[in-house]
Amino acid sequence: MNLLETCGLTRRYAGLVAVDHVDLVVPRGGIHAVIGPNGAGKTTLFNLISGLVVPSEGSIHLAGQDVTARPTHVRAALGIGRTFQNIRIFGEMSVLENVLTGAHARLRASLVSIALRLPGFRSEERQAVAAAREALALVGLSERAAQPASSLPYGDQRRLEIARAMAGQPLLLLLDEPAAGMNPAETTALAGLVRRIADAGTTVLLVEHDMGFVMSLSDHITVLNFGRKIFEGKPAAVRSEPAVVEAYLGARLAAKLRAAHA
Amino acid sequence: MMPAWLASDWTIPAGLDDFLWTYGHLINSLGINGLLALSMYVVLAVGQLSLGQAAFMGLGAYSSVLMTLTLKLPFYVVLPASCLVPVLFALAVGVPTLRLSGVYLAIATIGLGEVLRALYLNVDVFGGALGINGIPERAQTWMIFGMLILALLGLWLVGRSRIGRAMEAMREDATAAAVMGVNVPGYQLGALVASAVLAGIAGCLSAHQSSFIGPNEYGFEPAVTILSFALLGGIGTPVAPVVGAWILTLLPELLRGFSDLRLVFNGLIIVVAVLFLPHGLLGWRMRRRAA
Amino acid sequence: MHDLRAGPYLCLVPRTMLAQQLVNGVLLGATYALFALGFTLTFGVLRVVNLTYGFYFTAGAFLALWLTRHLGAPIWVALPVASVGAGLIAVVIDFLLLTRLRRKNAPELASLMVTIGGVLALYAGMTAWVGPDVQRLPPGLISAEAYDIAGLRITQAQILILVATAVLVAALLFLLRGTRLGLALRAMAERPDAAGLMGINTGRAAALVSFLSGLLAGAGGVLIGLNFNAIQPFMGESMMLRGFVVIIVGGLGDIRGALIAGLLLGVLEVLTAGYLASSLKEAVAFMILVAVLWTRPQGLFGTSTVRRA
Repeated sequence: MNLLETCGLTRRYAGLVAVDHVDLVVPRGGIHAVIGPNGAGKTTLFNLISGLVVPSEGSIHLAGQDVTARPTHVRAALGIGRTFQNIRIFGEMSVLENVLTGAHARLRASLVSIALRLPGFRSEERQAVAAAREALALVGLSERAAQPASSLPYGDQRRLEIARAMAGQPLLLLLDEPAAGMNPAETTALAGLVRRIADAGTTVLLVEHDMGFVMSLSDHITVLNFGRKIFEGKPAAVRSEPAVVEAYLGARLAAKLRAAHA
Repeated sequence: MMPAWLASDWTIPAGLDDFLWTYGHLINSLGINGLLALSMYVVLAVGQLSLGQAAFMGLGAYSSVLMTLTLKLPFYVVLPASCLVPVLFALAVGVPTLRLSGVYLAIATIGLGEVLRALYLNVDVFGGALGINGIPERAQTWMIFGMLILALLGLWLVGRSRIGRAMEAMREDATAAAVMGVNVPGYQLGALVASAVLAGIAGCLSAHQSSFIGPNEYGFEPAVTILSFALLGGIGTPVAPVVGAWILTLLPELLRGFSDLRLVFNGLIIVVAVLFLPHGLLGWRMRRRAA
Repeated sequence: MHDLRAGPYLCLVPRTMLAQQLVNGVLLGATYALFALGFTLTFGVLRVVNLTYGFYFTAGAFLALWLTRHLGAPIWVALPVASVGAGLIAVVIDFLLLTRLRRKNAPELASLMVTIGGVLALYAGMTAWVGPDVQRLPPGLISAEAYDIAGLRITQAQILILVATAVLVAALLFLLRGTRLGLALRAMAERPDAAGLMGINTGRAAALVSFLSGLLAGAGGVLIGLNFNAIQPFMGESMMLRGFVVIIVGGLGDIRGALIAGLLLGVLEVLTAGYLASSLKEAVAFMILVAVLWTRPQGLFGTSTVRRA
């Protein structure tokens, strides 16, 4: 059974179709990428999958279960984790607390158990802290655990977001432009991290502009343009597909024309 | 009734008696205003703004007084029951508005305060403009401070758990919190209900220690004053708003000459706090984990 | 009169009395609409629920009181001068309280909190200055004489309310729909982010919108003060409940919705007071507010977006 399936997924805004009847199939395991020129609808697609945007049409199934009508927090509990294109860490919390918050959906202690500090709560909290430290070790931020999250440099904040999402032990991890703003060395390290996450059994679905990153890492690529799926296949096939080349070149030329007129 | 050995005057030496007689009301006010500040804190702590605390307090006060005077219920039944009516109103106002952006809850709760005042003024059961007199003084100082300490302890313990982390997360970024699996509307409603419980109990205690309640004690001005408690202290820890409440309760006693300007001062505190002191006087925040 | 399709209570009442109630209700509703118009304009363009708005209502009424009592001004002078005065006060207060937050792009609840604190300070300061008691306009300011039109009693004050409201609403609609300035304001309301691109200066737009809304609230204060002949510092605060009901029933930021909802609320209040009990006026208004929030949060007439959390 496929982990994620969208069927005819559509989101319209006034006078604009951001995502247009997209059928996306993500099997269990591996790294999948969604690429496309700016404004192709990639982030809207992620927002639809994580429940931040309500679809105008179509359905979303996670591990065979219809989650189309489920709110964001329920989808998180069912196993969808994500990061954001513009970093959204909780700046006033410590790095460790950020990661602990990521484990929220997995923690079960009741209000009574919390208020009375019952043993169940204490052991659960101890385990959560241990798991959070593990997630921080995975992304290489162990030394920074006690720092306020807002004090981290940019690249570390991106890795913190990944650790926070991983603390929820998601089945499917959505990474929205994880390499944005990173230098080549950081990007290489990030690729290693994503690979390790996938090898450990979490299915990764990512949106990224850095083509080298996408081509070297992905097992399967879906190409969007103007909200529609125009191609999908292995990285090698994508590179030689004329429709894809045209979509990118067209967008570049348009950008050049706009620049000339501005 | 409470056993005699628990009553506050039994344990107090004779010398303190005069002091308590003079300042007893002020001391009780410190406890009650502390509870009200916490009632505001729980809502602000999830990133919402409610101006309904005074209204919830009024509902707790009027409903508990009617239970005492009309139904002749004992105080140990009245005190916990005094949060029922406020909670019902919190649900009626909170369920529809919390689906929407934050301004709707603020607007609806200000409206609630106004309409309840009109109702108390005009409906006979509530005694009209004269209010209700002759309420037995059953709330003892130890009960007031017992509730305050209980509330502080509870909020502190809950704050250092997944619930406290979820609350701070949604205050910072509700969208990111939802993606972490936090049921944002659920927590917001829970906070509003907790707020109604605290304010309702504060209302009951306050009514049963002053022998009188009137319609103007629960309107817009007290609502804003309660907000100023929390904003002056800050909301980094549950202690901060209580300290804010104590400062603003004691200050008018020290500056008696300016009693006309007390509300002006409370209003300006909010302005100054939001513009220049967003973390309040006690800006430090608590660690959000228990292990 | 069964052909009126009214409820069972209304059927028992003579037709002329019902008609009289409706006239009174429409006139009261006109002032509510006028008041709510400025409130919804501020929200629509500046994206702030500005609670100091109620104070401009108080300010208008007190300015008119001062002009008529101490300078002996006639009402047709006092009404425009007091309204403009309230508008200027609004500009100053908006500048003091909200400029900093606008520059920082602060969350909407921060702006709301500042205006809550500000308005309490203003009301309380006003009370400390003039006292909490109800004050009355000088007798004979407007003739108490009433005209008999088709069996309906209409006072001169009511005619003034009707004319003043009609003129102000028409002027506002012309400004918004017929001028370049209005176009710019409407653009700001539609796309706050695009305002900068269109060369709209946010500071000047804020001053203009504050002036207009203060003027409308001030005029409302004078007219309500005239209608009930009771002027008191906190009068703007109880008016805010009506303001909330009107802008939520009409839809936040919706000018046309505010006009219709204001008229409806006025009629409903008069009918409630006439046929049920005067004490239930506010309760009925609030129940409508809650009912609309439960069922149609975008407002009765809105079809467009609701701002969800």
